[in-house]
Amino acid sequence: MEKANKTFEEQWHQALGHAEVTPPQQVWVAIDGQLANDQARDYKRLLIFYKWVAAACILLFVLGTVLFWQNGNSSLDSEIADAEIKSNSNSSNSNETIAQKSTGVIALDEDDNREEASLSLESDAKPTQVNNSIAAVPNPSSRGSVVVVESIPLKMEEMTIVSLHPKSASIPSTLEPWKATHLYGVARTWEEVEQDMASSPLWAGVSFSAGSFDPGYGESSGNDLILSDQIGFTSESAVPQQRTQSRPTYSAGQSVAGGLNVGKKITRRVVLSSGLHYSAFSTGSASSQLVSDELDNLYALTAETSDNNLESALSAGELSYEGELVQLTNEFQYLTIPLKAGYVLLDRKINITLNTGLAGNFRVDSRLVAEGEPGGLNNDFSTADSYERVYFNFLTSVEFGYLFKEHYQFLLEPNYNQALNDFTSSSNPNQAKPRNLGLSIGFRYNF
Amino acid sequence: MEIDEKELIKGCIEGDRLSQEMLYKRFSGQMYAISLRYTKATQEAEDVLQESFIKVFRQIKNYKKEAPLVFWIKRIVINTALNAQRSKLYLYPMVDVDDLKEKAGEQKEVSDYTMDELMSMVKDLPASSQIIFNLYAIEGYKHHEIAEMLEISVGTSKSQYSRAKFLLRERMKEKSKHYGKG
Repeated sequence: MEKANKTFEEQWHQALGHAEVTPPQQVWVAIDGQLANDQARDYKRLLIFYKWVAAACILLFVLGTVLFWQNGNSSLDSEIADAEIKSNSNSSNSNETIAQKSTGVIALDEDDNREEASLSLESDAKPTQVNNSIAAVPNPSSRGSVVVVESIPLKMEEMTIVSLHPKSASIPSTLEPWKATHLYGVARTWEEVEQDMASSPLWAGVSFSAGSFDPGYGESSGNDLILSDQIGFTSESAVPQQRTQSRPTYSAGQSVAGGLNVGKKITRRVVLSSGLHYSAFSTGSASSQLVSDELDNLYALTAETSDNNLESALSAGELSYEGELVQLTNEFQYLTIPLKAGYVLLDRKINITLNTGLAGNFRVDSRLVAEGEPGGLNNDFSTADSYERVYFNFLTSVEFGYLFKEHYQFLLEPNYNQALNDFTSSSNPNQAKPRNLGLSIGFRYNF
Repeated sequence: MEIDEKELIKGCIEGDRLSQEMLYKRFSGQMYAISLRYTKATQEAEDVLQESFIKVFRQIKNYKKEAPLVFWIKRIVINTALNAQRSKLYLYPMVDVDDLKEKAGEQKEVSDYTMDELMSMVKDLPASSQIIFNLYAIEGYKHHEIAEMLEISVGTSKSQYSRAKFLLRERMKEKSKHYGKG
């Protein structure tokens, strides 16, 4: 029975297990349509997602704009009040001091035909007296009424008023047109950045600078590149006597610098800044003769008297020219502390500041570098003794800033530095005042 | 030119309609035959086939390649068919069927019948017997696997299978009489 069953099942499996029946064409049409719908639904979902993203962006933009204008209005109110009070104080005969953050209530005395202004102050404010004879507020439509001037944040040291001038009551007609608060909807971008800058005089930032570096050797030393064949060297000629004439001349090279900056706006237009920078300079390469001693040690023939190895070989007097040239470059590393004073030409979203000042450059390292170092040179390439530990330079720059967020500023600053004293020491046959021209890129955070 | 199965799968995962169509053409005949075995009407089978391939295209990114693609698709078709039939199974609850005594006589060979005839015989079985017969005799599942799949007892699966077998044999005899084969 079991055997028969199995046979029965196997027969059915063989008959139908691998059967194929071609389905009607409409099945694929339906599947195709459904897949297309799925695809469209996916696109729709994606579209909805992007719509929400766009809506969120618009909402953020609108919210940001509203906040921007709200802040602008409140700060402008303060500015206008400031301007008003200053103008009042100019026209008054005596001054009274008003405490910061007061709520002023101007009571108009109808009987006396002149308005008595009194200021009700908060508990921490000084009591205020107002010169009644001057504090007239001609406001016919509001005679006998009370005009409330709300929440004008005033700084005590800046605020001295004698009285409320009639002009102050007849706002906004007495205001300059560009300060008129009633012109809602009129952009007052001229004030916004000024307020930000005025309220954030301290800043810190980072910068990176790159440019050219001219060591200025040629100007003060007057030496030239003199090759051995020009002065009649032969392989057996006296190298020690002639070596100083074969010193290489280095042309201008590159400079890079980077560091931290801090600054403070001490007045509306004047900025003081300093910082700490790491600077690396390199001169252009110059050719120098290769010489060898009796032990086949190779030396580059430099003018460095601080090169003890070369000096020893020269004193041994058994040097011979190899007939090859090697390219040498001077490299310097300095820590620089600049001290700059800047005059703000433009202080808006984009600002321009003219800077000038002095910088102290503290030598970290200086050395000669042989390009490729053919065969390995036995020179002592440190040139520390040939250069001063410190040199000072005059600096000037034009700083272009862009306030891309509330506190963040992007800076671009072409700069020029000229050494005021020689950066070479007395042991260096060259006397040189380097200069460099560069472009600095930086970011700044305004506190 | 035959396109490599891996390429087809890759194309389907990327949503390439041409690859999807080629995959469908490659496997639809076999899968349609399965659908027909598990359903009563052609329209139902087409629906099962359509739904199954939609699932295949949506889920192909999850295909692990542990088993051949054809087995993976086949499982989807069978599960889809079972889901479609499940409501009918609830309408006609499966109960144990007493062992049916086969009438004495000559046992007919399945190979004596055409595929259409065999299909027709399977379709004519009661829904529950039809499914269990397909799963056990043709797909090769064990009774305990079927019981688990359909959430029935092993005994029910066995008795339903016996019933299916009995009915099929009866149908085969009737067919042979009708065609003068016996």
